Amino acid sequence: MLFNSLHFLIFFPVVVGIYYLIPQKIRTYWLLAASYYFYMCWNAKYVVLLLFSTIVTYVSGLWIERCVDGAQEERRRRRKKLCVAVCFLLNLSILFLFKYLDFGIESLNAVLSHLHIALHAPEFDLLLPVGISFYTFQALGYTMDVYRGEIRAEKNFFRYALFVSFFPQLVAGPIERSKNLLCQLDRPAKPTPDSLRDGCLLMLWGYFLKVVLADRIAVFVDAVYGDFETYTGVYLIVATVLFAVQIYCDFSGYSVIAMGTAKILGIRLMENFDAPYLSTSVAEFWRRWHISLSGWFRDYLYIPLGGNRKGRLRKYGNLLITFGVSGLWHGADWSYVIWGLLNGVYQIIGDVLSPVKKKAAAFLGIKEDSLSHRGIRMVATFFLVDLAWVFFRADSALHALRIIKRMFTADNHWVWFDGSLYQCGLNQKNFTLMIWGILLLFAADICKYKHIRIREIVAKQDYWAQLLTVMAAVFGILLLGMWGAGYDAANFIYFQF
Amino acid sequence: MKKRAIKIFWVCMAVLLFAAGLRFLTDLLNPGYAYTKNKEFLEEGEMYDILFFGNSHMTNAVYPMELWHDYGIASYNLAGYGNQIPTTYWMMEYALECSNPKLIVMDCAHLKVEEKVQTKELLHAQIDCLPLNRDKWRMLCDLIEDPKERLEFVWDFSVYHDRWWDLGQGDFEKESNVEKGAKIEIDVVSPQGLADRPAQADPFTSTGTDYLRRIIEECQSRGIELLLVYLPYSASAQEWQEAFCAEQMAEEYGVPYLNFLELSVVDLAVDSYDPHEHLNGSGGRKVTDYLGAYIDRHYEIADHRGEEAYSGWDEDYRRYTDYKLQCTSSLEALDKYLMMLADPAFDCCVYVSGEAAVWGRDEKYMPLIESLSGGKAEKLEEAAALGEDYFLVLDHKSGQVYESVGGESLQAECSFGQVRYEAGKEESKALYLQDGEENYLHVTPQGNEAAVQIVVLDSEKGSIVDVKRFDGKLAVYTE
Repeated sequence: MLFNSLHFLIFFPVVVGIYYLIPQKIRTYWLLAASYYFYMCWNAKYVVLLLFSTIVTYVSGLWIERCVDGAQEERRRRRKKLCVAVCFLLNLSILFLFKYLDFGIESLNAVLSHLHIALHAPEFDLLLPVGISFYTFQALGYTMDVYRGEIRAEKNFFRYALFVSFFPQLVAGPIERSKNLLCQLDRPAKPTPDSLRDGCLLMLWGYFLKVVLADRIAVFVDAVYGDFETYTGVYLIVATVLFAVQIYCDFSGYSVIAMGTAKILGIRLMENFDAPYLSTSVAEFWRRWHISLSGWFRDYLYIPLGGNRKGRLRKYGNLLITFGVSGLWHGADWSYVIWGLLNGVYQIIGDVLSPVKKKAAAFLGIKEDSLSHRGIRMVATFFLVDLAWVFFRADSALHALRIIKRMFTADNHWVWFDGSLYQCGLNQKNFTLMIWGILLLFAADICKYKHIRIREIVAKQDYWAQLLTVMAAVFGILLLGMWGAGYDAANFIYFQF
Repeated sequence: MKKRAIKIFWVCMAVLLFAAGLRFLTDLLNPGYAYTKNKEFLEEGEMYDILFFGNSHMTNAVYPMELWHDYGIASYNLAGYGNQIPTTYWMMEYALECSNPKLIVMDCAHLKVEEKVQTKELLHAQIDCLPLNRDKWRMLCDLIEDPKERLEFVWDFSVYHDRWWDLGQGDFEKESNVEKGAKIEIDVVSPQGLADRPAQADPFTSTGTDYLRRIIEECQSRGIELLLVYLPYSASAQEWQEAFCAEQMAEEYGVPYLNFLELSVVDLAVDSYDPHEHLNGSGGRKVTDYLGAYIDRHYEIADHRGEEAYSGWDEDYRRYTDYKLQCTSSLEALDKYLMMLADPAFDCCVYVSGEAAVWGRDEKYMPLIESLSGGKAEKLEEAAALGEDYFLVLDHKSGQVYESVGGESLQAECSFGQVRYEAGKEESKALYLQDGEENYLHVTPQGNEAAVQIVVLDSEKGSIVDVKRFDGKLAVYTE
């Protein structure tokens, strides 16, 4: 069930309506039932995996805590580690089986073939369970938090099951921390008119990002990237820049809708994106982009690996490992690994060149805090991040390299002016709307960057102004969003007869 | 308490505003094919004695306003583009819930087709205008297999919401169809040609035949007269079999049947709008005339002219003729213009210069002029053979046609007034109408003249409604 499906638009009001009506003590069970229904709408059989992950991490949490309570120091530590190891092994095995097995076999076959060894391992072509990367990481995060003693193990299985499966963030995050979410599920805050309004505004903004912007931009990007051999220069540059916006709108849109739905239920989820394209360095970008995942990798991989505490070389190695794994987490393909590594390499180069940049700025009399300097750094950061996105979007690493080459080896600047860009899936009016939408997003991000909370401004207005704002947003999304069966004038061509 | 009441008030306002806004946008964004086409029927279904069903063949072939003018018959053309027989069956079911016709005329084209719906878009065009009720839901359940796809027919805003970029004046000013559901097509295209009549029938059953049986049985159970037809077009050998199959079924049920493939009602060479499928305005008028006469002879359908309840129909007819005139006068191609003039609503005087390339250039112009005169033009070939000037006067009210060739002047008393055509050389040529002093033939002192010059008159009022001249290349003549 997608957030932008009719099914969800029926499901959610029903869930909220009943949630508000039933006594607080059974709300957890109601949300758990709703969450499992939400997941099973996609594939009922795969709910077993969700349940398996839930049981394994729940039991391991209890065992880890039991180790704390009774056994001797050394034995206790070993048992705890064993518990964590078994828990990670079981969960990551499932993840590997469904997400990475075919990729591993494919890579092995490629190596064997390269070495002229006539051995061909069969591929399994398993259907990837939706959200498996998200809920697995969230559950493993809980295990680590219990292991580190940051939280107490959850005794109530149903509450813990809800923590793993909470439907707003089940299939696309944010990957919540047990410290934040579990305690809220323990006693969900009573929904208030303010949280209802706030949640609705968040959902509307999320829908705007997803169905008005991301899905509209996707038409252009898919047209160009889907047939990149026939496009060169400006077409590919525009498509690549737009893809950066598309993936931001798509992903952050989903996260914001998740925050909004949770807020309506009285639960506060973490911010997952914080104006990432206004970052002035790649390192800052990763502090603002997919914050819940970056934080997970920082806390449960980068820091345990030694972080930046064991010398510069080790730090760079840890960075590369973390970003390589992050790439692999995003998708089972070498192009994702390259995308991750490229982001790691950017940060290493940035770190190495940092003193040089500072000296050069001082020598040239450039104020590092000046708007112009920050603007240039933002543009440069966007350029680097966007270049890496090519590997993320292209079908393979080889295609990505060819796209980059075609981007910079063709001279067709007239395309900016002769209307050719309107021939790539979006007509002039849709293209113009897309540009206005991106400008609105940019303005909203600047507000966020400057800690201006638009929702609070709306909330301070009279009811009629709030009403008009909400209505304008609702009709804007209904009218301009890419949803439903869609109207294709070409299909209606027969009417001329 | 007061605060709570205020909040409830604003929530109610939000709901009302949302409902009103959605209603407005739904109406605005619907492209209106179906709304404009069938709106009048849905508003006043009880008025109609005859309903026409079928697909685009029927839409383009039968003009209810002509039947009103000639016989006082109140009818509506509910045929829809791309309708298969099952869609037609459900349209009929729906229509019968809000009307009480005496006669249903059903086209049997596409009888062999197995699919219930040609395309979703075409079904939208046909049924979006129908308010949702039990009948529409039954229709959707039968025609659309996938339950999810039915939703877009229940709430068509989901299809049309992203039409905002396509909005134009017509979307804000939706007018009802002045042709009572029909559509006059304006073009003249050489058809593929009708396939030879197969020697024998090759019976078949199909989804189409199943639903045709349901249509016949439904009409018979309700006591409604049914006339099956197979309308004329360049049918293939397979389509001939459809016509035979319809004939067999008509015989089986004792239902009258007209196979226009076997009736020489139209001349496909001048009456086709596109190579394979549809009739143009001229062809449609011929079919309408034939059907009107047939219905007049075989059925007792009331003549509603002069009745108080139908007083609006005369105004409707005036709007209809204005629309036809507007369509005709905006044309810039001679063939289309001549085709549209083959209409009893228009009288005309046609002058063709002897030096004009009309005769030899394209075979279609001579048949068009012949068709325009109702086959009464006898001197046409003579003028063409001699390369002489040709002048034709067409007077529908009296049924007279006047012709002149070469230097022969002509004077005629027509129902719209006197016509005085002075043949001669160069600037001495003249055409005077209704005792006026204005010369309608355009000849400059240098002797230059437009190759084809046509004066069009309203046959009811006798007033001159259009004058059009074409140069030697048959483009609109400019001095």
